[in-house]
Amino acid sequence: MSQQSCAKPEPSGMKQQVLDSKTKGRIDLLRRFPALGPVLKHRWFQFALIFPNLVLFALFLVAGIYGTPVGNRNIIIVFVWIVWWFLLIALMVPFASRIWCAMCPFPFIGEWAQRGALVSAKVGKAVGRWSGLSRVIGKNRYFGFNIRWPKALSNIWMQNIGFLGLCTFSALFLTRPIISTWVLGSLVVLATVLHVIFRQRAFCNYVCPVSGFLSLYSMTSKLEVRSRDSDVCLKCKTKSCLAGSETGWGCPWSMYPSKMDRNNYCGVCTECITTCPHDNMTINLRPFGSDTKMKGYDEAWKAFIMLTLVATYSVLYLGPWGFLRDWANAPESNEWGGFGVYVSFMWTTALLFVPGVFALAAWAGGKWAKSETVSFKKQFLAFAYTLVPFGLLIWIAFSTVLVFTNWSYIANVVSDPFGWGWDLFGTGSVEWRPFMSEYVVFLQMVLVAVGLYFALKSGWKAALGLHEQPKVALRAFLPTGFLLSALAILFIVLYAG
Amino acid sequence: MKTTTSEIIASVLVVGGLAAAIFLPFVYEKYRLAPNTAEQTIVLTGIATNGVWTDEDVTAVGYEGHVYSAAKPRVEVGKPVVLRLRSADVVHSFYLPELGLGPAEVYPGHEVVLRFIPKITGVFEFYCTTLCGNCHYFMRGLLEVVGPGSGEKVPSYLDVASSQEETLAQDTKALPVCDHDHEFSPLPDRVVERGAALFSSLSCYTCHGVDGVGGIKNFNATTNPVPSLDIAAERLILFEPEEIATVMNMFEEGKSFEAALKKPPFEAYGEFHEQLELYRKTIREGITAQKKDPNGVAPPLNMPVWRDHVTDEQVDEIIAYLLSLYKFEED
Repeated sequence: MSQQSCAKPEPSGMKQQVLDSKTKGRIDLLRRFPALGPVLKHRWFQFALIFPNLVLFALFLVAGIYGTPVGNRNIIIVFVWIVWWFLLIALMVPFASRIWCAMCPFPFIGEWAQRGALVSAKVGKAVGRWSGLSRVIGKNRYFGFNIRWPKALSNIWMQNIGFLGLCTFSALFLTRPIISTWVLGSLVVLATVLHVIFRQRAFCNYVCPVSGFLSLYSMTSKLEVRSRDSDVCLKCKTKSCLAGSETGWGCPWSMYPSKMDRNNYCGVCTECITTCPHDNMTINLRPFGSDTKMKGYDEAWKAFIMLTLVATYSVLYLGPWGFLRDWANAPESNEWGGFGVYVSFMWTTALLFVPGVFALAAWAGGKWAKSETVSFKKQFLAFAYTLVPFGLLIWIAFSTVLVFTNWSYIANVVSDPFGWGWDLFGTGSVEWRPFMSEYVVFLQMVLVAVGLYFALKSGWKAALGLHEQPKVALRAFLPTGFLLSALAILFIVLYAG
Repeated sequence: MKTTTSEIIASVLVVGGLAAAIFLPFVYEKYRLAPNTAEQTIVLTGIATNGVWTDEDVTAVGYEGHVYSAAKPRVEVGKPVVLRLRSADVVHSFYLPELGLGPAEVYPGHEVVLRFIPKITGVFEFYCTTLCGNCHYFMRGLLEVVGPGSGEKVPSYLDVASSQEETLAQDTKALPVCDHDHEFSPLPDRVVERGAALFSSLSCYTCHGVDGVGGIKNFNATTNPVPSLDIAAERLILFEPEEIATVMNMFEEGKSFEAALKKPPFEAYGEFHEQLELYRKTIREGITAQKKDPNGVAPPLNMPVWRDHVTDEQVDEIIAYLLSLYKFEED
């Protein structure tokens, strides 16, 4: 079917109000910058994003095997766990949503195998000797088994547990290049295998531990991919954004862009912008924290886990308690008893204690408000969102000090990625000297305060949405508000102390 | 551009990019280290956990399990040498005093480059002068300087003890003292065992040798190498087994050596007590090694001051342990 087969419908007057609320505070970047459209729609765009990362990633893996065992002089440690992490959490997620997923090298080989193409879109069944291995889904042709991901696992619980499990051993892979190589290399292998077995980006949607927190924190992002008018999508007969076409692939994340009202599961690959025959998909700039709906306990628990982890890491890596670092690094320190305490404490806190305290606050608010129309689950999930902007800003505060403290290592490894004594850009011997070490704490305090502001603002907004009367809403939210404020004070004390 | 052409170009880019990422660093490194025909290049990496200066490539993957062998580099006299020093873990200090090299601090992940032209033939010992870990004692190696065009070993300029060759050949990772996870019993019952635990945990053996058999070289020191301690009994004027047994009993029972001066348990007790006080003072206050050649460089190794780290009882426990090392000659 050609792209012109369905006429572009005009937005109806009835839908105008919905349209207005959907576009409120948004800037349509493709209309504001018309030159951007052809770039995003070009079939080489995604490749151009991924390719440099792929090459760098391969270099990091090689450095992790053959480079120096000294972590702070090996590029895989410094670039992945300091530079990449900071760019991801402090810049990409808040300002460009899940743009990282569009340039991530993990699924590259798997997706190449699945599509049998790097830069072009394929339609119709393959002919010749490969025909038996291909299958048409929608309009596009894919290789591999293309099994649907099990419905029971169609949530982010695996990502929650996987990320928590991975972070349990952070002291190992944050310091030892070979362990980092194993971890990252294993993720590539896993992604490739899952791409061959399951449809599209099942790995990214349900397994990738990085994807889990990206999905959560991208809710806050200033950027979104959305349809301009859902009416147009409704009346569109080809649904090319979902089914694919000659010009592009159906949404790799199995999203129906027209229904997309949150950033959580959009990988910003811009494939829908390419395939839409009506030019109805675009990229918007929007206010910070525009998505506010938590849709399940799995997402809420991701917020609890992330908050627990940033607290744990702040204590471990920024605090003065060396014995805790020894506990976390049992394979080297041999403190296995302490490691048991550390793991038990972290997992119990992340999965039971923090959710428990949060649930208690939400329950107490509900009781105080005496609201019978709002269920506990609804209130719990609505208030759990407050931990999204709060957690993100705490992570930024934590990551900022890491970069400020270790910037000289970044300069070192740029010139000497393998720690072999190179000096490519004259920065190989820059001496370690933390940047603004005496002032960084003030920046951290500001970031925590900003996080609290957005948390309280979004919580209050959610309370007003749940309860009609402001007085009732205030009662419902106050316990959670106090809890958030107490947490903010704790983090400030931890950083400033 | 045709679809097939685009795919081919993209595939070539991917394969080429990955190949470049994987192989280019090695090509560049080989080019960088390519010896100038007029120069001889030696790359030595210090590994504290392995207790060696090795000339093998120390990689992140190798460091986790491979046992690196100690380097025995050989260079030609009169030909410029580029010595590239690296550390795989902690700060080391490279010292090759006979050829005037170092002490040079080598920080992990940084390379220190020393250039020199050997003017004499011989076998010269180099070692680490920074207490770098449990295996520090073994961080020694031999640099052989041979005649021009000669592949053969020439007679040693210095008398390198064969025991040191044996030390270099040891699989240091198998030694308990090198084991990171090796736990010294904190409070053994016997005073000698407590002394042995202290001797290990305070890393005395890094200079005095395992079981006090003798130390590493201390260039330009009046006592070179660092004194062995397994003959401490002789230095304490204890020549008879009965005398040692008496002293050991006193250590074990915690008796006052000062009080015993009033009623000496054996004939030369007074002399023994003087020496005992000297030993105690040495451990507590340390000793700065004296220069053999007053115009030469300062010896790199000094006996540290331990008074803030050990109690008087622990000093006696160490001395008791040293006494226990003495072996009487068989008749």
